Amino acid sequence: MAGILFLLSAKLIQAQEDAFRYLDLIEKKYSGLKDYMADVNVHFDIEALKAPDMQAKLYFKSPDKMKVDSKRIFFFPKEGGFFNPFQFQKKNFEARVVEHLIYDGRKAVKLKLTPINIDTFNKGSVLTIDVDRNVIREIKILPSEGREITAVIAYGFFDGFDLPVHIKLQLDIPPSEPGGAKEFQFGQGGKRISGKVEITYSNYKVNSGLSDEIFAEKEFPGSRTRPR
Amino acid sequence: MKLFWFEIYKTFSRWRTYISFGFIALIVILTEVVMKLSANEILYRMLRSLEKDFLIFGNVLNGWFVTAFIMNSLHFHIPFLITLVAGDIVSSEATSGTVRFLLMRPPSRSRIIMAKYLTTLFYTTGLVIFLGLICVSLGLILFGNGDLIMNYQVPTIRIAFVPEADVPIRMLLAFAAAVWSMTVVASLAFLFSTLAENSIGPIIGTMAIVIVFFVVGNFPFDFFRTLSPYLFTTYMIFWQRFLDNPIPWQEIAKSAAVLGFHSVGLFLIAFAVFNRKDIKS
Amino acid sequence: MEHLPPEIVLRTKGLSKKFGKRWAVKDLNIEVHRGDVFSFLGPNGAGKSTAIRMILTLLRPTAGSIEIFGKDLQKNRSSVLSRVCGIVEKPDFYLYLSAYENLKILGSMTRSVRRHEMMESLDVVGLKSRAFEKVRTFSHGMKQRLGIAQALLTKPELVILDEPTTGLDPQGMKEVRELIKRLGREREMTIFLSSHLLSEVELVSTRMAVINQGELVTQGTVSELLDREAMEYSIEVSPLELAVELIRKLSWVEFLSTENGHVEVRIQPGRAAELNRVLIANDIEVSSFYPHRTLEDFFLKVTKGTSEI
Repeated sequence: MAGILFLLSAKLIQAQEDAFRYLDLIEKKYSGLKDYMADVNVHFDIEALKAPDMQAKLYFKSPDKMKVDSKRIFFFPKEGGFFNPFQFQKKNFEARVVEHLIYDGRKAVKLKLTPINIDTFNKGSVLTIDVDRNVIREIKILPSEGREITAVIAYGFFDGFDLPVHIKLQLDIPPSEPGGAKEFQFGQGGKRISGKVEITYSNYKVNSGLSDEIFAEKEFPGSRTRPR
Repeated sequence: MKLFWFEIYKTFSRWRTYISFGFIALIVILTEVVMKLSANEILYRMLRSLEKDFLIFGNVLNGWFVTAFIMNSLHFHIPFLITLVAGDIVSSEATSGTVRFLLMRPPSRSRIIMAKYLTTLFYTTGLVIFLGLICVSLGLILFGNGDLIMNYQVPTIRIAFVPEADVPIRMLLAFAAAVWSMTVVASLAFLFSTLAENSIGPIIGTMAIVIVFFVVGNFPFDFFRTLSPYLFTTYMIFWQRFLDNPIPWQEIAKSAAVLGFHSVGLFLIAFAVFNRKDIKS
Repeated sequence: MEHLPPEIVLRTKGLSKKFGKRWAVKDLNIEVHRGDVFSFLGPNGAGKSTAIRMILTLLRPTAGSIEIFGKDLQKNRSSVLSRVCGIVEKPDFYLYLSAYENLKILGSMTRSVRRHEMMESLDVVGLKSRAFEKVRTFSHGMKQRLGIAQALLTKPELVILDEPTTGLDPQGMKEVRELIKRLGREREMTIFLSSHLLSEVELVSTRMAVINQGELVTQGTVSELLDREAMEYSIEVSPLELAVELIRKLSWVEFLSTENGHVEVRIQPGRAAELNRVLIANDIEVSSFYPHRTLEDFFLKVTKGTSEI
């Protein structure tokens, strides 16, 4: 009995080590990526969000600085929309291989990542990784509180790095909480936000030496330039 | 035209006409200053639900949003300020006794009542435009420019974006629509003014109707929902539709037509009453 | 519609007004001649104000017609009223405007008025120095004078005044009375006025009409109407007893009383001289012979229905 348990746990440990191996490969692939900036176009196809296409300039500096520069209001999906190859850190997640598969004609592996600090909001995600190119092709946020998000990522090659050119998100998220002045509550209750968001990246400039000053706050109190 | 200018002169020679403008300026300045001081709290409440799933950038709490918010909040305040003049413009002549002097003159009663009505509309337009100018100019100074996000419940719950470049013309149309809406209130107060011999009655009467209709039209019960299409207050917020995406032109046209019929109908009744009225006082 | 001879400025035909079931004015037929100071008399509630308001288009007649300057009022309202001015009850103005501004607005509704004309009108009524003060600072008498100023401003041919001396002190009444006479005399205006103050009316009027319970009782020149009535006379005679005895025998003389050496009698005005001759022929000394002929007496008589007309 003890032996069986030992074998099972050994297999588990091995499965976990295997999962992080894929993530380590990805991190190593992008270790040379210090920063990038790109033009982003977001197209919404959501009934409850009648928005025109939104454009912005996206700045990234490793490991996790991000800035959106838009003269206009810009909505950017939190989960799956923003490319940060360093976001799946070993210290933050437990990972295990779910299956090996052929994805889009290429060898791939599915990993299940569970946050170490579990909260009701984030139950984890399933990544589909192209094992030859070491890129994440699909991110599926696991259903929690009725929230389901799937991101499918297509890549291009820029200055030595595979960077996203197109991310297609399928959203199905619940309505918001009630309370407060309705003029001050957007997307108020009763209706789920369901539909597609397509994000297109272009005009990449990689490792151009972005300074930290770029990531400072804007002047108007009503404006946002960094995620909160 | 001479009669019209005399009515304008008389109306704007009275200090009480300026109470309305002063009140609006005070409300707008106070609201916008408080909103600026509470910007973070407001942003949090605005975006709390969306920020679970979206990163939001840009100048969300901008001058246009603040303008739309203020316009949306003054359901009763603006109508009340309009009745102060519209409800008084005919009845005050009876109160002061000047109606006798007025109606003994060569100009027909039709011309006199028309001049008074045009003056009422002029004042109404001026008041709404003043509200718009002060909201927008102060709003842009304090909060800057940006796209406009509007929250809609009808016919579906949704958020509509109006690109920054389109907002000025949309706002202009929205204010024109607001003027059109307020014309009904002005016409109602004007009618009461022709029926009464003091100003308090028309003001109270008009406000009572506006408030009751508004409340009844918004009761979430089936019976009141069936009444709602017959109440002019239901159509008074059609100015908001110019800030929707896409603009529902058909719905706007319907609302404008309903309100237009109300205004014309109310004026025609006032016209007939005034022309046939015996001046006994 | 027949055309009036030019001298008839105002004519009503069958003019009537009903409020509910009550006839306030019924079948009123009056004529005002050019240059008249025409008084419209009647007790309270007789229908005077109602008739005046109909003439000034403040009330719609239930029946009848009004002609002014030979034109039907209803069909020619604008052209007719441009030659008419009225003051109904007390003159009211826009209290928040100055006297000048009030004149400008009210005057300009009839015709273009120039500044000097307005100042001249104010000067005539003694308000030139107060031209640019708000009317709310004016006394009642000053407002009355301002009312007359606005009446003069447009140079009307017919001025209609409803109780023009209401609320005025004796000085004010005198001023209004003098002004009315001047309007008729100097400016050749026709004046149509109603008043309760019969002594005032007697002093200014050339023609008058009496209305009672909405109906016309009589109209004509003042002297014609008063002369129609039997007059009361006070005769100072000596010896008194002999005179009384003689008078009692005369069938065409009504003996009334004796007082302080005077005998009070009532006779037809045309026979006063005859009575005088009879007394003298019977050796009765006549020291004075004067009539108690007042409009008030006439008015009270006709409105009580005791007229001998």
